[in-house]
Amino acid sequence: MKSPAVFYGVLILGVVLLGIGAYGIWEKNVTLHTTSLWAFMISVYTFFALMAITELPVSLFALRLVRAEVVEVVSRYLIALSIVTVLPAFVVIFADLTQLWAFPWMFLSFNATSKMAWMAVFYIIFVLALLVKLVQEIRGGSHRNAFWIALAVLIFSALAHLNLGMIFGSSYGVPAWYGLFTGVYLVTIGIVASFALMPLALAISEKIRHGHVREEVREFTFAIVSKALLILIPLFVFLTAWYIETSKYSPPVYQAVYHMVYGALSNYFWGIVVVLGVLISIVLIIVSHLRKNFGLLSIAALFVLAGQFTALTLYILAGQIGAMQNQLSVYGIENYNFASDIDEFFSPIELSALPLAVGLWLVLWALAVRLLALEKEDKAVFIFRKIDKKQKPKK
Amino acid sequence: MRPVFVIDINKCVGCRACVAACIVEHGQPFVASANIAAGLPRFTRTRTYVSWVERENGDRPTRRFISHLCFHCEKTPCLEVCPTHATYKTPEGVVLVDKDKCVGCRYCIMACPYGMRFMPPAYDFLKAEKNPVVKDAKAGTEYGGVMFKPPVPNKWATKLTAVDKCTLCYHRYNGDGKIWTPACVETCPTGSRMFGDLDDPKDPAADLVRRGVAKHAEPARGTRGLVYCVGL
Repeated sequence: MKSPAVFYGVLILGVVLLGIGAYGIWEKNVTLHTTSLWAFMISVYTFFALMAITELPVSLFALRLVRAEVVEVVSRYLIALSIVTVLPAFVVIFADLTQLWAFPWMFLSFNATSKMAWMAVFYIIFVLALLVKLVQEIRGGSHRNAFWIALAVLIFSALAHLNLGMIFGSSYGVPAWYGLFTGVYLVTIGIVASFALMPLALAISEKIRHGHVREEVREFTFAIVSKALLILIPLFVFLTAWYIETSKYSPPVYQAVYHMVYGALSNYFWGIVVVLGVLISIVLIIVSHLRKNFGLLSIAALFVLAGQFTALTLYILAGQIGAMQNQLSVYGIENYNFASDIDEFFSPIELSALPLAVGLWLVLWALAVRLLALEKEDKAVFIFRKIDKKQKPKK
Repeated sequence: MRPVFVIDINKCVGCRACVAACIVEHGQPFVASANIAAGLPRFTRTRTYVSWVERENGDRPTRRFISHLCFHCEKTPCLEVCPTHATYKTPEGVVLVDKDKCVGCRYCIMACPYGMRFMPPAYDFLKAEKNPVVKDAKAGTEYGGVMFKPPVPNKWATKLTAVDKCTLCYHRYNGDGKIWTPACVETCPTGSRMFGDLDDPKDPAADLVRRGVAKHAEPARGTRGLVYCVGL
């Protein structure tokens, strides 16, 4: 470990954030605080679960769909990053449930028509497949095995993430999250966010292990990540524009889009999603790509993450407002106050999910970098790094 | 037995005695909130509610009282999405929640097209208890005796950590194949709420359904169900 200060700094920051989040969750359990909407906590765990696609370049490389040898340098890091990113999502999901002790019924009394039940199954298999892939990467093995494991990871990744999107998309009571579009939109957000997460996570890991960002990692970042972001962000813009443009054909979707683009939520949409998350980010990514400036790319990646998270949160919130207004109009009820919805969505207890998830992610990532055998030179015991005491520098 | 629940909107005077009866029957925490949206579907936080809808009809203002409760749908979106089978349907078609199996994911709340499922407002109740007015009322209750009768014990009564909804007072059914009377129907002073059996040719509520006078509230959604309305 070249920079213990970075390791301990990340760890302490993570623990502090984790403490703040845990206090909020403790308050939630004491006061039995629940919302009538799917609120901010849902958008936090959905975002972290969707973002766990960072192993995508590794699988595509193993399946020979991407011919970029540079992936090999960071392959173990990216697989570990997927696992580390999905774990905070699990924790926030459990924190959100009001009767956690009833969770075994998900399997003992499995409802095959419920996408929520399938989410539990798919994500558990996805994480297990990632662990197998990490073991296979660390221990080495035949290319044939690598191919089939990568295929399995890719299939279960697609199933888990599309199914998560369709949990929203198939919700009969909220027609503003309509059908397959929501699945595709959420998975797109997940892929964009996962590529944005890579330079930030790699910056932390490189600083901890080497004290600087290695040339091979820079090469991977500018050969894959920055280019992928420049392709994927316009795709996200296209899907968002599609949602806005087609809203005129559906009253609940129109209500949702109205609040998101023109109404009470429009400042967040135009400020964070469009200006910061798309326009400024694209300019910064292009400049950083041309100058091969890793620091600038990391800043752009942070902006992209903020934009994607805000887009997801607004999509979840505005969809429910649209559904509510449309539904009440059937009965001629017009005194619906959506401001109370927004207050409830962003209540302090709900907001505590963000420090909880980010704090846990920081702690897990710092520990993963420190303890796991994530580089070719590392000697491994199962997936953990074997520290050779003889090689330790003398005092 | 094929139970049907009929609401005659024209007879309703908006007294909300049905709401009070339901709250007492199932031991629901009730908070008279300042929030203007409280009481509307998905904000009700009570198993049934009556909203007052006021409109100007030309020169004449009109006021109608719209009852909301679970429609006990035939095509049941909440049952389809429940990951643990906590939501289930009885042979009579009544949709219930097994409070011990519910994980509290609230997916059924998102799936209900009518917004008639909710989490009990335990947090609001806790906050309200600190309100001086509530404290005074509580002290008054303790001094003067019991204001309400205690809730009827049953496995579908309100549980603060599980999703709640109307049960059509299924705990009152003793399994003999005869129709029972829900608490709100028993209390309604104008007979606006009726409960009947479609298999009984002399049943007045069932007769309204058979003659097509009582209809589903939102037929376009195609969920059908046990609840019918007259005059909506």
